[in-house]
Amino acid sequence: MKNIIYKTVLLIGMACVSLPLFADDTLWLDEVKKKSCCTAGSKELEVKAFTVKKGTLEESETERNLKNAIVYIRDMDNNITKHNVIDGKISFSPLYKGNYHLFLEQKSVRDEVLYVHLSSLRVYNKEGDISKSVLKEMRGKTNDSQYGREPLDQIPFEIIMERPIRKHHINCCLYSGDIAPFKIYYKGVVQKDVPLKVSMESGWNATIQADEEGMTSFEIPRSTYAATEKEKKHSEKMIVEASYDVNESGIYGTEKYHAVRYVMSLPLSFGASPLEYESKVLGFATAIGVMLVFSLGLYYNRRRKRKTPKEIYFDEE
Amino acid sequence: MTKNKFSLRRAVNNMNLVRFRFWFQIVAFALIVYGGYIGLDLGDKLPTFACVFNGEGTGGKCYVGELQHDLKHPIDMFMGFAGYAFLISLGMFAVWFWALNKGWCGFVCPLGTMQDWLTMLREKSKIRYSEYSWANRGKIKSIKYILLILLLLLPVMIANSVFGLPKLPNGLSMPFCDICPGRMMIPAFTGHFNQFYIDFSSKTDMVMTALGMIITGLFLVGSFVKKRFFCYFCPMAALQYIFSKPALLKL
Repeated sequence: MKNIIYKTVLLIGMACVSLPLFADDTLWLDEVKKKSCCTAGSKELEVKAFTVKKGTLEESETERNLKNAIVYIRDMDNNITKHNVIDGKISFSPLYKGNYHLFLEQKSVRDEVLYVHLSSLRVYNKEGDISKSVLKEMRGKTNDSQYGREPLDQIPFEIIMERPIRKHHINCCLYSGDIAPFKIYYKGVVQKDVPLKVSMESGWNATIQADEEGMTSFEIPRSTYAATEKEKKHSEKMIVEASYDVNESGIYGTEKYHAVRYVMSLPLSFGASPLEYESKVLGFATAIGVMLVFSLGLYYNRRRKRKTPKEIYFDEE
Repeated sequence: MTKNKFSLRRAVNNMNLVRFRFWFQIVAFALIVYGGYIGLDLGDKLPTFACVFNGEGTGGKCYVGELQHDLKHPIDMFMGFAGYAFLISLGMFAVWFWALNKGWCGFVCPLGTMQDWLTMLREKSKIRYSEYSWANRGKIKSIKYILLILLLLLPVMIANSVFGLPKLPNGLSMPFCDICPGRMMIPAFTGHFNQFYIDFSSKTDMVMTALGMIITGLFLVGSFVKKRFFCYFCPMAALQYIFSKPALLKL
């Protein structure tokens, strides 16, 4: 009984104390982009590199203390490989062209609470070792979906992005105005009571509750127009995150814990809505205008060429 | 048994090819345009206009789109994996094409089918058809080869400086897709009219998307008055011609 009261007090205290600090504790995976100048000539497989960031999108720093961190990498065929983090950096050479999902798991014990920081990132590999994937290239499979994947067995708590409802004509990316749906899983079961926190680079934040079916969805807002003044196709980062507390005791390494807190983050990026620099009305008007001009031109051309029947005279004299 | 064989042969020989083609085109159109909804995925090297912009509906993807994508690599990369990928894709395109030859145009192409439907509509409306003079026909024929050369050259010129010329803007990465009427018309059959737009984000995008809209307007009226109007300008047909000699079917 005493133990239960102790755990309850600990969990309530943790919820009260750690909520404001929650954003600071967020870890997320970030891809290190290489300049195209420096990779274009390489005939070897491209090495993808990632770092782990800590903090908020506005103020973040690279986390180097990742001694217990593990990275799972899932390819498009659901093959999972395990990688270690070396000197705070993650790198791997994807063999095939297509989607790869990275999952970071970092455990640490603080104040008798086991913190399990999780982060997932989807990367698309444009290149691949053709000799290893001749059949894939020949097949040219196109419907390799990155959404609505099965929860990963290796990590107990996960946010999974479902297929977004797109309001634009491009299938590859997210844009403001699209509806982004997510499901939160704990040990393979959808959690309906876990809120989803969304924070954007521009400073927009929101906490969203799931519906009756456990789907948490929101319309990606347009929070700033400042960046698009210079570049119309500007893209912005956002992080969706969720945490889940479990009343569970145990020993991690040499340290005891009486509760477990899972914190999962999913970094995403989205672009400004194409509607900001595209005109559909003008598109339709151009097509219809051309049709009218072409049709009328054709009609008058045919009319001009039509031969009038000559009058026939009979000379009866 | 002999009698049955004989009957089958006679049935095939006496078949109404016009009616057979009409129904074959409907089935092929349904598979190419809506096949994705039932999980059909014929890959991205089809020698026909199966539009990549048709999203989830498409039952496969057009090779011309893939070709432009394959060519947009720096020369060093093209000598490596990108070159292999290009050769594999071209090989697969040739294999697909070998099976049906120009049957892809006459029986499978959704854009061709649309044009045939417009021709049928004109015939029902009892409107007179148009035709090109023999002198103009020769000139028009060359347009598709010019388009083919441009769609091959422009993606290369985005990633490489050709003859010391500056690199082209990325907005020209899929030049033919920008102006192809299939990009607008095929998704429209799945209820998506979102390809009808003019993009003002850059001058290149604006010119290319406006050209796309103009060509779509011309496609609709032109196909109504002239049978298979767009096929005269189709760079896919020009590409197919290179592989048509060793093809299985002769039409």
